[in-house]
Amino acid sequence: MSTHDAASSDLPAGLLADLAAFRAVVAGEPDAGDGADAGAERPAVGAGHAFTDADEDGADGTVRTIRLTLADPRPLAAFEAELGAARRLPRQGPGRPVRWLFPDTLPSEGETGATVLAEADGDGGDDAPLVARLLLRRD
Amino acid sequence: MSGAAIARESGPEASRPRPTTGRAALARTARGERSGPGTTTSPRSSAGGAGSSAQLPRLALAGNRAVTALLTVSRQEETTEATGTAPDTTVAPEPAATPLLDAAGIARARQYYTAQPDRYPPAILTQLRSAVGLAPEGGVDDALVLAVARWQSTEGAASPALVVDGMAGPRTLPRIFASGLNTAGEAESFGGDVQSEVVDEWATLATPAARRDRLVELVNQRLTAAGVPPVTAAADPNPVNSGSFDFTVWVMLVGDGALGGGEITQEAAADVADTVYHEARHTEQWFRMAQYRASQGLSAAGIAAELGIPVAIARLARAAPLAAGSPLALIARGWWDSVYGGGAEHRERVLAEVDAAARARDAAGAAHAGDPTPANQAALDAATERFERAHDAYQNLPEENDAWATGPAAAAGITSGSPPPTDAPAGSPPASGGPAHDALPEENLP
Repeated sequence: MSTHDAASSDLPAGLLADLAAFRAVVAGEPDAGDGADAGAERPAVGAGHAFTDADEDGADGTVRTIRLTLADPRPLAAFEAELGAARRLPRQGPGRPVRWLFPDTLPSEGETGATVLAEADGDGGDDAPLVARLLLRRD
Repeated sequence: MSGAAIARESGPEASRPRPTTGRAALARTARGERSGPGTTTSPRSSAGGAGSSAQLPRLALAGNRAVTALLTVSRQEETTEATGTAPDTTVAPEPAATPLLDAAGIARARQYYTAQPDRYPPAILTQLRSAVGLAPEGGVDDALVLAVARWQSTEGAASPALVVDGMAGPRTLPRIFASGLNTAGEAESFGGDVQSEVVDEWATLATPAARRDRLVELVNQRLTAAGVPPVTAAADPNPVNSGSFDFTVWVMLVGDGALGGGEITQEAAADVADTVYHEARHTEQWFRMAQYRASQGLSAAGIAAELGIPVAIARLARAAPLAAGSPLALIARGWWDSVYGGGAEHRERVLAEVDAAARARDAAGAAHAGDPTPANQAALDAATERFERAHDAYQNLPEENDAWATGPAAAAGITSGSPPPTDAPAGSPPASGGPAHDALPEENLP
């Protein structure tokens, strides 16, 4: 859990809306919340957008994961303000980045959702870790 | 989950650590070979497929047995103090002619068991005694300690060799109570399947993706038989990473580097089998940890939140908790302690030191390459030694020790390289394997 005093306002405009839309894609919801068909349309990525890349993985028409690369690393605390306290996960091994899980994004019993994990570059720093990527996992 | 045996390269990028072939490196370590800094060897005799770093000559990490023994004794003390649970570690067995343990050692081992009655209740002790050839009744006595020590010095001598201390801790227990993927013969059988269905079909499978899918399909059969949810195969974005298990998405990543080329050598194929099996053992470990937490009453959501694994996997674990008080639950507890419990901070320090030592060795190697003075050579030697110590500590983590001990047997099932392709371009070299198990920071650089 970060002690950094940041707020979701530290995140660039549009990031949270894009994140919600991508989460809807992963969760397989028919509507991203703004009337768009999430199954067919993803938020734009690239220069000038909140995310520079969105790497999808899945099978049989289901999106299993989407890895979103932030245009610029952002404080973990800013995401915690929006997604709840993050839990730091053990690293997979040497050279592997630090990841955090936002437990509040886990789906409720019997539901399908898009759990959010954050990833740093390297160890992410100890005091005010920065998030470089988000991983959306279909649960 | 990364079992990176580390190689060093000569030339302009000297000392850039590369995770290399696990089996071969382990064999060299077991022989006590050591390549001095600046020495060039080529454990992979020929170049790999497109983009394979194996085209570069490499120096294999090889442990100095004497130095390793000294270091592991030191680590054992540190580990025991840090977690209170992990005394057994890797070290060469003592010569058979000398007593396995002296009176003080026996007393320490007895204290190890009796001080942890929640881990070693009578039900565990009776099974442990039986497993090491004693009558089940008797509890903690000198006979138990010495029988465990004997077991460690004989059955536990395979690399990474167990320390002979008479304490059946988180490294020794998984070997005494073998189950799942480290059940006797399982790994060799998997290797045989890899031989017949991947290596012998190398040309037919044709692409790295097809070979990866078949490999993971084969190892998934083993996982499923062990009651472990299968993994999804995926290409590692970095082709030189020949294998890793990502527990957050339950995916086994295998880089294309080891799977390319028109042919694969026997040695490279053995490394592939070793690596995939090593990573699959990590998969099994993570599921056992989830089952262990289920046995303690955690909900599926609680397991998913704590371990970071997918909810679907957590639900399967919740539906099949380990029997409380069973050897398998005790084994899983040892892994959980290391990764998520009292040993987690130690584990993070170990991983961080591997990263830092690799960077330091890179820097020293670059300095030496640019200006090979005696002072720079000495600095490189020191940095190399630091790295080897760090890697030893990494390999000594309970979950890594277990996976490193489990994977190599898969290589035994590999009996040959792939048949020569009928239409191979002249001079096309066989794939010689990529690095094993995982990447160090340098591997993730563009």
